[in-house]
Amino acid sequence: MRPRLAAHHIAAADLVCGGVLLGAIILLALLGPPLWPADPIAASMLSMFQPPGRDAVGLLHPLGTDQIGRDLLARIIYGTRLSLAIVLMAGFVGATLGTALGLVAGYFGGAVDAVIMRLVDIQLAVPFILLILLVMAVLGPGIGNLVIVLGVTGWAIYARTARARALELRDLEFVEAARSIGASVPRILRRHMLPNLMAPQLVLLTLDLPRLVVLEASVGFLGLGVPPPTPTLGNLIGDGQSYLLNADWLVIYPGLVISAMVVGFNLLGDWLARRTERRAA
Amino acid sequence: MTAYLLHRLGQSVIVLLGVSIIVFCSLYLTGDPAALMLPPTASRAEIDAFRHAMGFDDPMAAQYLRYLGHALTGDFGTSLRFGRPVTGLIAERVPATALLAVTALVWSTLLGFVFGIVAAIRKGGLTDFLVRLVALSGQAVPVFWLGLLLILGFAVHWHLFPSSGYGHAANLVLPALSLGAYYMSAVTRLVRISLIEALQQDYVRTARAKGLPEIRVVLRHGLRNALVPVLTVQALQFASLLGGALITETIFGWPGIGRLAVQAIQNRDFPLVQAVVLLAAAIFVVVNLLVDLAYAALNPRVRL
Amino acid sequence: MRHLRAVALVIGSLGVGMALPAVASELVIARAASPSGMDPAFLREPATLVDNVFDTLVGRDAKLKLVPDLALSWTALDPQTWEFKLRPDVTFTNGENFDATAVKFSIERVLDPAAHAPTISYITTLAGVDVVDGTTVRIRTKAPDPLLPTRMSRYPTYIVPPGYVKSVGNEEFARKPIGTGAYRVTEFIPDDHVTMQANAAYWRGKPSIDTVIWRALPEPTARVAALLAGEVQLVESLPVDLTPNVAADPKLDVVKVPHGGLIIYLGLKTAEKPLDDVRVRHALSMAIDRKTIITKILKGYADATGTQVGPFDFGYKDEPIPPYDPKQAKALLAEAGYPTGFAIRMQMPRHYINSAEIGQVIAQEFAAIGVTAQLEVPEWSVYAQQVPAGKQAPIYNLGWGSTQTLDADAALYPIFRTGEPYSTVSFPAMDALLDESRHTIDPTARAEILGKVQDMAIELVPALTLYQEDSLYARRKTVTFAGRADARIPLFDMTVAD
Repeated sequence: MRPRLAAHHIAAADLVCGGVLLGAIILLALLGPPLWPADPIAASMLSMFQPPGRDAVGLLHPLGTDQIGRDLLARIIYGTRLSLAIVLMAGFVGATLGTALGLVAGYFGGAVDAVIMRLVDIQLAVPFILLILLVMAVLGPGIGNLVIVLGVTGWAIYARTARARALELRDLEFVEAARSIGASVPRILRRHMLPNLMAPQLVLLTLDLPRLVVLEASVGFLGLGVPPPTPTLGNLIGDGQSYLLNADWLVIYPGLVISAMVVGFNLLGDWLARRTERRAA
Repeated sequence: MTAYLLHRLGQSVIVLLGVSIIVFCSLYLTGDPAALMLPPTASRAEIDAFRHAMGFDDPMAAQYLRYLGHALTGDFGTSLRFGRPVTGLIAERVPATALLAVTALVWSTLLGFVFGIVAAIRKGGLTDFLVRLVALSGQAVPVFWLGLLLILGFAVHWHLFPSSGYGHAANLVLPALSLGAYYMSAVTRLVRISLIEALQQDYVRTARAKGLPEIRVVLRHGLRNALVPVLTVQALQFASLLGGALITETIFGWPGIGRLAVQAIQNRDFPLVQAVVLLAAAIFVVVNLLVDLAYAALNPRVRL
Repeated sequence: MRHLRAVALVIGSLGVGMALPAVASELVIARAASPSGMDPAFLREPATLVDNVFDTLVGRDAKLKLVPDLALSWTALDPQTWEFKLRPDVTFTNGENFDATAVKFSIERVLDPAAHAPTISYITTLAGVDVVDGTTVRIRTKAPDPLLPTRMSRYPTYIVPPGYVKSVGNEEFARKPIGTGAYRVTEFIPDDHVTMQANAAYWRGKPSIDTVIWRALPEPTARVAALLAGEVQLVESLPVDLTPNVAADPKLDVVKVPHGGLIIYLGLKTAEKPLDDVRVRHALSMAIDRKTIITKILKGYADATGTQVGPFDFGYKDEPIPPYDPKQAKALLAEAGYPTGFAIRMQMPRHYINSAEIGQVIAQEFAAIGVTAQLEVPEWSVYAQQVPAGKQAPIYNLGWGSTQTLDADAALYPIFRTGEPYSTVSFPAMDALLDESRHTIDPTARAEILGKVQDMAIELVPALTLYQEDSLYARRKTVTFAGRADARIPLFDMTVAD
């Protein structure tokens, strides 16, 4: 008999691994700057392309330095912080927008529904990255623009699930009851329907975050996200690309953080999904 | 069936029209194409004359209708950078992207099946765990980072494959690997889940009880179940592959549509970007339509 | 197991195939950019490739002296008319004859305003071309133009075959160009490569290298990796940070062309406060440690300079390099009424060699004298539109070169003359000198005037002149190539050993 892991062990492992990875990254982002005070922006011509270790003047650079002597760890800490913030805000924007539109579509049905669902189709027909790059090129780089663009382009899946759930809910007794006592439509949507789809939408958000992490990094990698010298995980790799031959650490470490972030969100999302399924069952 | 077909066709047309409106608006918002199309030294008067000659001072709706009219006759505008019709530019890049996409899909599907089957047979075991790990990391690693790591290892350190270029089989290896990794993970996950589900069915239990070897049970009864969802997903993946190709082609200097699009965006060559977006949407819509129709044909109960 | 070995063999052979040394008489060159088209009249990029496909009336030898090419001789009949005697018996590679009509056609298709040729600015001084007989043309200028022969030495004045261009149209011509040059294009895959074959009937003789492949590898890493792996034998725009990787390989050489690159400067909007005060401009110039930037960030592959004119240019004057003196700079700022400095926007695109990095360093050096420079690293395509429209930051980075004409006029007039698209300064005294130089035919007198402009620039600081980049190549030692200050890669003069 081979050793077999029971399903709940796997689930627990997901939670622990995902939690640890994400916890570490969030700690890095939140506590990093005070713990590691090196300047992420200022150039130091004394220690350029320093491999991980101590530089000529004895300063420690655990992850090395870049082409103008900036400490890579410091840049990764600030980059993680910014990337994480952008991704969370964008996820929130997308989930809010999508849920609202999905609710409206599902509740009203008919023409409203048809229009919103065609908009979903239109949104999904264009590769996200292409659309985001196009819009960023039009709007110009910047943190605010990036959050809006990543968020707005991500609304479609939330709208689909919210609509499906709203279709089920709208004919249920408690909604009927609310309607019969003359509750306004916004009130019904907000008070009676929204709470019932918060949980699945949150799971969806967790599962959608890895996609956003990679998208944000890709846009940064292609140089259309946050403009330099401000670091994000994506533009760190984009910059480092030119130095693959002489300073590969500039590409390797930021990528590791991105991957850890994606795995963390994925594991946590899987765990959440399974938990809500079990509850629903 | 005919009604359904017409309904779906109508939807597809609406989607494409919607995409064209969105893309047109974003282009319109970029401001004055006249200033972009003329040399920087052009005078104000020259720009005004040119703008009027091109109809850039017409109302937005009129410009859109004219654009649509041209598009319906196959004229999608002229690239600002190349000074050539964008259709020709895109057409000459199609073979490179198609080669890359098909190679990536084929290897990822094959390997995904192998991994998925192995994991399903050894469900819960160490092998299953390892396969899950591989699958997870395939989806966790951003394609551009994987591409750079492949270049670092295979091109820079070991000189096994060229880091970029086009035309030889060796050039294809690294881009196809990095583009396919994500899909390989997706297929593995899907095959594993479908197989595990199938293997819990009664008829499979019966087959097992008859003493058939496990591998044959899996291959004969399980795979049939897994095939349809996996191929469906892969067909849809193919439609969205252009997104991944965008970055892969840029990293490996692959002369396909993806790289053309990234350069066009970087050069603010908007007519070209517009055409690529429309092409991507068209591929997506057509593949979706075909998948849906295939479903409807196979299973007459499906009526959306 | 046997299968495994077979797979390993296949994979191995795929890899090894690439690592084999090039066949004799074939040369693979890696450049950062792919041409978008090869019609010399509609080039939007350097003429490196078309230079080997087309010829001009006037050539430049290795010492950059003007020499006869398709024209045997030229003389100024009067200050506004030049007569060129053409080389007889030259044919285009499609068999079409080269003659005076071809010259007229080639130049007039650029001058035609309806054509919107992006290269027209190089020959706007021309009024027209007259055919005198089969081997004689006269070129008229709108005003006396001492640079006319120079203008006939590079794009857009390459001579194209009228019959072929008319029959296939501009679009097809850009993809399948035909000229009188040493090579003809046999394959053009945009963004990947251009293949050229030697023109055995070339009027100068058969070139030594049979096949040349120009590969477009935008990533510097990819270019150098391809060189190290033996896939390419010559690399253009070698990044300075990778020179040690090339130097470490005994089969490879770094080719450095001193003063071969652009002159990098920070443009100033001198009409805006506080840059309107010459003391502030001097202070900013003194705050920059040009020497350290060059040794540290450019690895020594540049030369600090005090003038916008390159040493190979006609009219060059050896001006002193602005001193690095932060103390004096602070004093000047205080004198100008800014004892605590000021804040100002500064744009450094990621376009010239390590320019974004240098921007970061300069911002810190400005900070040391109390000036807070808000550094922006704009995208080149956007920035390149902003600058001629005057929408750039008050301090902005540009590189300027005169490889087209090798004349101080091209280095000074467009950036220092009031009202020019790339000029953000206005000094009437300087305008007067610049205008005078354009109407002076006598070389000695012209050189003197251009020298005075450069003296005046030292005094007025219309821009913060920083340094001139070297141009850098890397080659396999089997390839003869010394590099040229005009950035040409003259295939006809090159050889490849086995």
